Amino acid sequence: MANRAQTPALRLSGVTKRFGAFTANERVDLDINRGEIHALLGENGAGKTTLMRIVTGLYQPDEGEVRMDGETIRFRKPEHALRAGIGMVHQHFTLVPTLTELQNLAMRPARIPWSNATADVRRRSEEIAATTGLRINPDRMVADASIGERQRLEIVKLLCRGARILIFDEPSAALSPGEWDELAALMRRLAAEGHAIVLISHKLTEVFAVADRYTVLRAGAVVGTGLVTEVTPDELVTMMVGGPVMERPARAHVNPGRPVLTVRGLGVARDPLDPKSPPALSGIDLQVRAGEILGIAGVAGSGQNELVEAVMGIRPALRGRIELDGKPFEDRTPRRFYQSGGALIPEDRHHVAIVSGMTLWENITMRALRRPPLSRRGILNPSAARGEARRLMAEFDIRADTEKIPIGRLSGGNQQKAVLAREFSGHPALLIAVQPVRGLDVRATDFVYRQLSEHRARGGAILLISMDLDEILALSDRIAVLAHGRIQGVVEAEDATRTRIGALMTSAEEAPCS
Amino acid sequence: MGIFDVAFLVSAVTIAAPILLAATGELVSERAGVLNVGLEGVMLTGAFGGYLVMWETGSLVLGFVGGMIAGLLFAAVMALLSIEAKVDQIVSGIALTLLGYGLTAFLNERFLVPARTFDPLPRLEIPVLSDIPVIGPAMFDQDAFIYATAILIILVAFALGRTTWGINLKAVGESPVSADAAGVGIRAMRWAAVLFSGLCAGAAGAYLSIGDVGVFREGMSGGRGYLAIAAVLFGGWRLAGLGIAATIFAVADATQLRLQAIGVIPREVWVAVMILVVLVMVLGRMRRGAGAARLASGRLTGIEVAGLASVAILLALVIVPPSITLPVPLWLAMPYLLALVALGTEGKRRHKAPTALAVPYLRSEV
Amino acid sequence: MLMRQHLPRVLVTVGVIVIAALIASLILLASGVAPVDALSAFWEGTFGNGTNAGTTLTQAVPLLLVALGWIVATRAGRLHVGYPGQVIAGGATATAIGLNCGGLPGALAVLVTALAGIAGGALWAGLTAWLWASRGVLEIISSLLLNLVAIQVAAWLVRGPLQGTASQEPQTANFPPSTIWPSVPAIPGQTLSFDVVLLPICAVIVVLLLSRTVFGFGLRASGGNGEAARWLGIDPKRGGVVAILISGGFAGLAGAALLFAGTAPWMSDGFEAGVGFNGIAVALLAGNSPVFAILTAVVFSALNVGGTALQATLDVPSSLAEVLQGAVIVLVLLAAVLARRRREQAPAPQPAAAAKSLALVGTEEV
Repeated sequence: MANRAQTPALRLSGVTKRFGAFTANERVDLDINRGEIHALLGENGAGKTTLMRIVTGLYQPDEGEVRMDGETIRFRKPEHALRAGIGMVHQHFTLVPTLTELQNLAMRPARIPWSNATADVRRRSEEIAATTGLRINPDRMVADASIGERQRLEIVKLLCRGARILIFDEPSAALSPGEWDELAALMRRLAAEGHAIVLISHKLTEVFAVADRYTVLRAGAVVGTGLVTEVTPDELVTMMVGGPVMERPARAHVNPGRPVLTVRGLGVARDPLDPKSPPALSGIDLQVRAGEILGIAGVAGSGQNELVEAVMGIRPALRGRIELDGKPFEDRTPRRFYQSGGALIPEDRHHVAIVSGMTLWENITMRALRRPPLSRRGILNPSAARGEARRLMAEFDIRADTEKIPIGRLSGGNQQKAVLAREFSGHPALLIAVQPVRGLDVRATDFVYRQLSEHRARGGAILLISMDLDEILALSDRIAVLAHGRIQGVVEAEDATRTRIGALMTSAEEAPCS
Repeated sequence: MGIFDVAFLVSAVTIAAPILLAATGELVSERAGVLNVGLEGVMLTGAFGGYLVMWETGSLVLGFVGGMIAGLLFAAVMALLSIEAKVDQIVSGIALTLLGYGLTAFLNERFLVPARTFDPLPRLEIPVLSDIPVIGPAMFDQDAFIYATAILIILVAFALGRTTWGINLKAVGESPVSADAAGVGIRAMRWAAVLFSGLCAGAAGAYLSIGDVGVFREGMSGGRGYLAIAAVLFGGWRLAGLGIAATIFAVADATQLRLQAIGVIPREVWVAVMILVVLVMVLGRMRRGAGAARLASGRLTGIEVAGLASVAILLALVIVPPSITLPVPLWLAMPYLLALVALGTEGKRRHKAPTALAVPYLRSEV
Repeated sequence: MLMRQHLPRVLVTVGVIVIAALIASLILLASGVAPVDALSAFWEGTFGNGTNAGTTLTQAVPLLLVALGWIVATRAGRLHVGYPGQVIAGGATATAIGLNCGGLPGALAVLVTALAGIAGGALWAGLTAWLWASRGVLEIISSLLLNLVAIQVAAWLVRGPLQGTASQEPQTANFPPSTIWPSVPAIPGQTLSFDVVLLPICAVIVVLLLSRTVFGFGLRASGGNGEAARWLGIDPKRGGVVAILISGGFAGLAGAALLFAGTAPWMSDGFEAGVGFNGIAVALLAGNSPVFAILTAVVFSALNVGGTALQATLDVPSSLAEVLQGAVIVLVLLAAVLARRRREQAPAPQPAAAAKSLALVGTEEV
């Protein structure tokens, strides 16, 4: 039924896009039909993003053409694509948190400066609610909506603008398993109504659950396309990577040792400046022992950031005790955290882990530089620091011509390896890793996972926080489920299944979640 | 009434209007995410442009148009630097201020000699309304500029709160990525906002030179542009807050003008300052209580303790008015000091600032 | 390699100077002065003889000191513009102490005035730093307002507590001879003060501070990405406060240099003469490189000195220099656009997430 004889809603033929000497898309052919869910697969850097930016009018192709319903189109800016009926649900929602949901819908180019689209949009959103069941809460601030609600608003926004082709970029990244099921049902409903849907994902389970057809991109070119029913997951992975992937070595059994991080009764307020604001975390009890990986599962916004910030000393805790490496850890500051044997791989690399304007060696030695032997009495020894950086570059396979290059110019994978090198070089007792492979390709992901396992094998303790349940299940020795600011339960790895964890995630009492 | 008579109110309104107009323009520009620190330079250019055209033509109307065009041109440079070149907005603002000072001083010295003094804007009495006691003469017996400012502010309030354009403007300053994805042109919105601020500041500048005094003097804006920026920050990026801030600055300025003449500080000044301090403290407490939707804590903050102490001192001064004479320069510094104190007490509310304020937009980050 | 790195900046600087010269010629032509005459008068007035060259070099010192302050503060991400106020505060403090240091031996008296200047500037900057760190007031706004306050305080000082008894002029008494900073005796008119040694010394100190110390490293990390610095255990607030204090110290020293190595041995209220803002322009023109700033400080100083010479010989208003200085900054900023355009021709395959505003015109890695 996916291949009905019809003009495709969207047809790309021979689309090529170059940036200087680099070819991002090479003669890409792609057909998207009305009524189908089409999965677009590929590693990071395979050209999915560039291709979709061409479709949504952010880029213009150098060669080739894009046809909508058989007519050649050429978008010069995103607004043209929107008007033609192509809408994209971005991974990072494009909503203004300080406006109400209705105002977000009304945000659009105004032809008459004094026009007011809100009444119009309110009526339109009610129509959409009647046909698709997508209800919004028009007068609520977007900042007060949950992730799932924001995603629904994002979809309503596109439908309001008359989108007939909907592109979903990694839509499940921030959703709980239950929310994902709802979204999958919605996607099928929209497709049944005649919308064309593109699903960009790297989670094969999702692709097999909802998609009708797939197209795989590698190095900017199409390497395979066809019906999802006629392909196996292994074949898809091989197409994406260009060769078989090594199986991850089975987890060696390590007997957990002494407790490295102990958290007792931790409570944290949502607004760090205001102890009376509603709690973001309450009554958190955790223990991470030497030689084990404790995974924290939970949907985004369950209190993960607050937990990390409280342990690090970035955010004040209202109550509770924390012990780090056997000693009470009080008067917490990030500096003391590192001095007490902590290390951190944060989720938001660009904002909190690297200074992109500074050189690679400065970033790698950012902490070691402030202690002997790399500095004495406040005076740096740059040549020693560069030597140390070169050593770590070799050890952690950081690909760069020179250590003097600004780290911002490296690829995401190499930046993450540099962060890893810095964090592991201090031989930490405890490593906190938050979404450590986000945005990395298969190879870099593999590297990061191997480093984590080796650290565990050396007797290090790891607190792994991730919104990707598969990652948690694959790596953790024990799994704690965090929902609505509370630990809902701790499960041993042997007993953990998706359903059991998913049930714990959603079993929590309904608390306002923002 | 002592020194706080009708004439005092009239002068306060005259002082407040240009600051308010420039601040309104700046508010729009900051809502769109462009912090125009060069406002002082734009105002000065507007003052000079107005004077220049007036010098050539003798027409007040053309003079104001000239001031607005001059402001527009300067704002266009700001827009070019901050939106197109994505230069740091503070740096480009400094450049504009320097250029404004130098250019107006040079041209004035070189071409507009001898200086000519013109009659300021005539007063237009609004029938009936101007007969209301106190408020009438202060508000409804003013010049056309002040009425125009009032109308413009009402229009801006309508545009910000009730139109799609207002929503788009806020979106551009809060989350340009989202606005861009919705098809709203970031560059167009920002250009429009910055040019609007240039128009406002140019007109306000022209009012300083040809509207109020009737002559141009080197550096005559005298920090009013900075006061306007401070008013936007203090006013929490809202028109109402901006009005309060401009009122406070103008009353302070009008007071110091009066006191310069009198010399000794009369008792009512201490009373007025005391009332003001109490009012600010009460308002601050109410807002903090309401803002977070919870009961205000019983504990006093450091600022409040300081406020109570100053109230006590002021009370003593009211009972025993000392014969203090402050030198003129220190009086001149008073509005700026007051602005600093106002910002210092309200500084922690900075989170209300548009998120993308002073951040250039790069589309590749979508 | 070295040549390749610095070539673009040299080209930018030369290009900017050429265009500024063209603008100057146009302005001169418009006001009826032949550019050739102006050029020769300019050269004669700046480097034509030892006396004038001495003046030019000596006047470059305060400019460079302010520029170094800007560079340190900017590297820490603190774009404050309180230099005029800090120059005044430093100068006034040095004056107040210097006037009472007549009994000290020369070397000690000079040292005391210099230290007083540093302390005064740092204290004035401390207000900005405190408002920023503990009250969350944007440092740019508070520093602008503090500038205006400082101007009035200086005006009060020279009319009140520090006014000389000899005359009714608003200026202090003459400084004791032992406090005047020594100058090279071989130059006629003794215009070349020994404080020109500060040019290379302070520039090198700043280079070493930023590139070779743990403190400077933390400063650069805080300025590059304050949030990352905080997460990595570097306190960006502490760094920011110290950077603002250091920049205030430099500006205060510049104030002392203006007075004690200046042309007149007393303090009047206009002694700051735009050094505070021009110092920023010097740093911008040098692309925030401390060493390169020595050169641009001399260029700016020559513009000032030459502008005065032009007024004396050809009756061109000396504010022409200010116009050119403003134009130079705008041109430098626009040059950044061209540089960006060229870079955007070939974007890296991995669009590096641009940090915040890039604009500080080719911020150099020292």
